[in-house]
Amino acid sequence: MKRINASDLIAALLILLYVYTAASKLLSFNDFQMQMRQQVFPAWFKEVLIWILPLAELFVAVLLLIPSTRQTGLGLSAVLLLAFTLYIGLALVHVFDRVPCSCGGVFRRMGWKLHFWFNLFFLLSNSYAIVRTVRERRTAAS
Amino acid sequence: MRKNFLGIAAIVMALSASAFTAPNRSNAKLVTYKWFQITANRTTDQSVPASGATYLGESETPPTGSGCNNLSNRQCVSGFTAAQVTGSNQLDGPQVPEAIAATRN
Repeated sequence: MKRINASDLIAALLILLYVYTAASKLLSFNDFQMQMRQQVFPAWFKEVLIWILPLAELFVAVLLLIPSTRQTGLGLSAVLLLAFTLYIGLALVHVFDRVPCSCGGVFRRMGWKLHFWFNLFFLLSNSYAIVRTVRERRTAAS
Repeated sequence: MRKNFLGIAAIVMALSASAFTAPNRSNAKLVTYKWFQITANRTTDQSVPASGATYLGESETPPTGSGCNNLSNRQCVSGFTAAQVTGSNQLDGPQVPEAIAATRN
């Protein structure tokens, strides 16, 4: 039985993050819909995001859960986190004149600055897990 | 097996936490808006004139409205606070909505 390593812990944390945020959005779906409709994206994109975001989060969580798809999950997770972090960064420098937080659960109370650092921490951890996983595979292959 | 257990434990914790932190409708501060059908051609970030809005009602959840297809950024059903609305449920001058429930072409 293989021991749990840092990549496994990071994957578990990411699963916790994605399942929590997706479930929070789905449990308050009306609120989430209304907040998303006030975002500064084109209308068609907002309607797509309303459904895609929670489903993508759950999909990534499933990929992270299954060992054979974990690396794919880590990659997609990094893309998602990068997109979220960039969005929050742009909101912090007031690129958007109107940024309601369509965040789920406790993240609504976080404030943009804390949310930015929180996302950055997960993005860096995610990146570390990717690098570690790739190295482990190379070591196992050689 | 241990690794899968970690992931499953994370899922259980996440679901429990989300249920715990979800808004409790019975004792949470309920936000109600005055909902209007927007007949004026306004994007989601524009103010709406009084003449371009028809009062639909006041509630936490928005009414359906008519002609809303959510395919553009034109306001269809928008929510305003009591401070933005007169006593006869007309918009008090041009107002930017607090909440947008639906959009239309």
